[in-house]
Amino acid sequence: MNLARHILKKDMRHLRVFLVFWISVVLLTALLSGLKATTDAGDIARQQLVQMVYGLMSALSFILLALIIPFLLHSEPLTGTTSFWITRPIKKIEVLKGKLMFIGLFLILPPVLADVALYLGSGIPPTLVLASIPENLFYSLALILPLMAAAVLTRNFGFYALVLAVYLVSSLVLTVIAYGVKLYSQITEAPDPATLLDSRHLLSTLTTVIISALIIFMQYRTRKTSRGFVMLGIQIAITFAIATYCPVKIFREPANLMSIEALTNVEAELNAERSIRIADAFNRNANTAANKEVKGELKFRELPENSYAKARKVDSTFEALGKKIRSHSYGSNYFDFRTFEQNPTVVADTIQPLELVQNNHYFNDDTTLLEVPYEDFLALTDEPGLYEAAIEFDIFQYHPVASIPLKTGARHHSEGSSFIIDSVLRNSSGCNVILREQHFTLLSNKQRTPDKGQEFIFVLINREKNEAFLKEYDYDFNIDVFNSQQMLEAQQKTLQFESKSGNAYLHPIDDEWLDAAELMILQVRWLGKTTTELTAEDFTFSASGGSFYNKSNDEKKSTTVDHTAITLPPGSTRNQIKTYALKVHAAFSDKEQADETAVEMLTEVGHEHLDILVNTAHYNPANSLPAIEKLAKPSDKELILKNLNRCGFLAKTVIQFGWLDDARETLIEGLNERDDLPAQWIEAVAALEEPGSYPALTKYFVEGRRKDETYAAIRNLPGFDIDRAVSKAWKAAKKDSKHDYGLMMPIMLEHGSIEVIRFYGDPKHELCDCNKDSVIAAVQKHTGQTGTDAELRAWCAANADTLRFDPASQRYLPEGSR
Amino acid sequence: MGNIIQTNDLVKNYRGKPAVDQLNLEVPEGSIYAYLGPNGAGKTTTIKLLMNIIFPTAGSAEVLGIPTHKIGPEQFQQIGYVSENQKIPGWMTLPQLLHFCKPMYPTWDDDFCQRLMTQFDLPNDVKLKSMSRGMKVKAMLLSSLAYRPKLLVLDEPFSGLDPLVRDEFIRGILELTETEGWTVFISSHDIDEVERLADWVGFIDKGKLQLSEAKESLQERFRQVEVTLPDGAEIPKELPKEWLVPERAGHAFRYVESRYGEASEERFRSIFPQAEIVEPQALSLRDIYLALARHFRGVAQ
Repeated sequence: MNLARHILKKDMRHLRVFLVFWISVVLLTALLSGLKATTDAGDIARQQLVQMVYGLMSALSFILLALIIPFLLHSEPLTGTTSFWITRPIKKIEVLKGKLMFIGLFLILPPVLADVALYLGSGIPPTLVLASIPENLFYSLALILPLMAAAVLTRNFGFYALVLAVYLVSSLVLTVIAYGVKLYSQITEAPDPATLLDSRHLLSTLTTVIISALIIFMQYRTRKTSRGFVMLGIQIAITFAIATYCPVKIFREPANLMSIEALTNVEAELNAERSIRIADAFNRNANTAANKEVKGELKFRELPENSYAKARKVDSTFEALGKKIRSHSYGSNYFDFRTFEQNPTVVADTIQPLELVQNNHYFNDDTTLLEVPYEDFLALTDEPGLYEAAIEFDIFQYHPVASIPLKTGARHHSEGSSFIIDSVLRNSSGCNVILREQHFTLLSNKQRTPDKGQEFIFVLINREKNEAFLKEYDYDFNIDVFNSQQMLEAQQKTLQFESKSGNAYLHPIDDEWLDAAELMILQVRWLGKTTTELTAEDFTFSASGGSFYNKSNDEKKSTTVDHTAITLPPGSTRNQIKTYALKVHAAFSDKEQADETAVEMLTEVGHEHLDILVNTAHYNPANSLPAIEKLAKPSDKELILKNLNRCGFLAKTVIQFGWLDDARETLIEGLNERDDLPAQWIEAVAALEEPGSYPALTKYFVEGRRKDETYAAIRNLPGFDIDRAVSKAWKAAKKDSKHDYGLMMPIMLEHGSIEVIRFYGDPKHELCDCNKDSVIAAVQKHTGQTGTDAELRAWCAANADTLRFDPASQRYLPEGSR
Repeated sequence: MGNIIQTNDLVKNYRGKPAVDQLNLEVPEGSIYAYLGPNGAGKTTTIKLLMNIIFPTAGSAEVLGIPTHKIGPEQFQQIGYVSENQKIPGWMTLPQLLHFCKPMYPTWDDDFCQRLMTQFDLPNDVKLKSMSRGMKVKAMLLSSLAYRPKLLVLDEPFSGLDPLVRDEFIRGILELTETEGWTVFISSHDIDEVERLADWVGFIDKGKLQLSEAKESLQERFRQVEVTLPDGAEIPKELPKEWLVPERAGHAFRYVESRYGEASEERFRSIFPQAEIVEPQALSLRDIYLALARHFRGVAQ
């Protein structure tokens, strides 16, 4: 009988309980990975639960592995002189074979199979799944072999746990040191490229695997434990050294996609339209003055279409007043991440003939042109000189990958990547697209291009209208699905598209727009890198510098709409009228209060187009409401009531026309469910004078946002216990923000509260700038005192105990006075 | 018959101190060799060296005609080894242990094993870790006998065993060696038990082999001599080196003669020409062991 198989069977019988537990955990972890991928982004509770259980399972699977391996190997220990098996006719190599069979069958194979099932279930092509198996096995060995090495050098679990703890802690400490060393050196040095980082990762993992395997093999051959420990120490040291300092590059950067001719044609020059900016450079020596960074924008010419360039490294000299400064700076390091958000200009070119509706996207084109020691900076400020630089830069290109209909379940698959729309949530100013993005990356086929930020960006397009929107934000819900070896990465993210800012007013993302919308996926591709020379004579920088971020007044003017140019031609179509209304909103978008001119212009649409005003009112309620009031007639009841929920301020029109009874249900329901109702809504509910709504009104007053407006609406309601409501609201506001208690203080003063006098007298209770004036005015009114905030506070603090409130005069008077 | 175990100037040092020192041991094939010595004398170290569990600092040893560093599975198929300190797979029951051991030995004899199981009266459904110490030793012995080993090495097998179990154990081994003709190498500091078993005796103290010979000749050689001394008799400072542990109590003088024979009478008369000698008494192995142990301790001091 084969002794190795005999030992395997014996170990199976011995560890059967552990094995059942381990395989259950492996299956459950794989199942949870799948669940995580399908969890609805809106179901936060489920996400949290799945995430938590997944985390526990992952930890548990490691713990089980760390338990099973020593139990397995310690049943035939290789150290000590008292074990049963060493005087039995068993070849050590047979024991090793038996143990390896066990580990392969039960500890390596099930997780690998679970991962394969997960990949196939996630739609990864079988060829890629097949290619992942060797890597998966390699990483499994990198985890298991060190545990085995610790187990073969020990004879009981306690000693093993100690060795493992020392091993893990040493590795952790060295990793932290290595990371710190890297971080420190990269303050002023080039960041390590992915080719080098991945090479170090692979080599250090390989070293771990090889030395651990050697320790195990040697121990089974010779049982020389002390030599094994020495090798274990060497393994930790070598792994650390390789992971931190190894200069060997196993992987290579991909070759330039552009021809050499095309690359050499690309030239860089300083963008004269942008001012120079000065920043403090991070200095390694905290005691010396910081270097100054002179930053500016580079313009690249002769770039391929749909592409842009980013500086990778700038080797520059600046010569002025007979002094020559040399500087080396890097486009990216740990403290200055290159912001590779969407480049709107290039995106606009890429998606033509679609018109990109520009939002407020900023693309960081800032490059450190020169780093100057502080003393030199002071000496050379405003002194023209010769600036020369060799600029190494990368060229990136946007490439449309696909457009998918804006519908739940719409998807796009490409090699190893997939995009699935989980849901589309429409709102009054656009929509949120919940997208699941999945990528499958192997170490062997990974594209090691220079950092290009997000590889995929998304544009919401409507081909009928010929319009496109870049996303405003994306919210990562952090539903990251990683398999055990982190090859499969899936993220569920929410992409927010809005038509509420800038000139996007004129191009609303409404229901009609969204019905024909698609989500366009653009991939950022690296085309190549090259170096170019740049020379600038009379280059100057000044201490004040300039700002990249503030547009000039001229620029500002160019983006706002001149309302005098907006006209409504007679006989306009509905679409033209809608565009007219939106242009009016855009023209007055910088004003928060109602503007008479805007109201007049909106009123011009006429009663027959009131629905257009109502539908676009949310862009500027302040101007829309007076216009609607002017145009509305009793016959518009259905239109107004239908839109009441969406545009709460229409409640004023409801009051105006006496439609309260018809709106009763909507009004009460809104009061119970929302906390951001406009004042008009509360006024409408109060106007019902319905005692049944009083508890909800009290609750809204206590918890809602607009306490002053709510108070004004409810203070005189018949049968409403306003004192009790005020008291509750004050109690809640005191614990809340300074904004909230600032709103309540004038109300409390009106109700004769001595407590609020004391509260105000206490200087630790700061006031919010937004309502400070109204609090001071209320204190002055009710105390008859004058002075600054500090003087009034001091007076209140000094007199609070001797004051009483006189309801007749609404004044706080000293005790005993009349 | 040759030697089944032979060592040549075998040395094992621990941190520079010898645990076994220049050991030259010969165990004849077919013998039951009792390897005696006080605690810490080097008995277990010797056995571990012989079993290739530890490696010698110097010298060499052969077991079954093979240098110990070459002892491997083939030799262990002919060696049964039971030690008081051996760690057994406690999660197994006896049948599981036997099932695990059986495929390792081509000579495994199921009938013999069954007979031993009956003889040793061990439970089948109890895990080894739950068995008493005596049961564990018997289980280990059983798993080391069922393949009829040529050499049985027992390291302190009696430690912690109650008298009844010891008796069963000894009877079992005697019975088996008688019928099978095996060689048994047994280390112990418990002489009474070994006396019934052994036909050869080795005595080790402080790592050095002090004595190794057939029990019969040993017992022939040692005698307890008691003398009644006349009034005023003096005992010389220098006594013959063959006299071990001499002691005087009033007129009585006792010693152990280690070379009993014709010459011993002459030695006696040269010291005490007038003294009356009581008939020398034969000694048990235990008494010989004690005499030697005390003698060597005295020499060391």
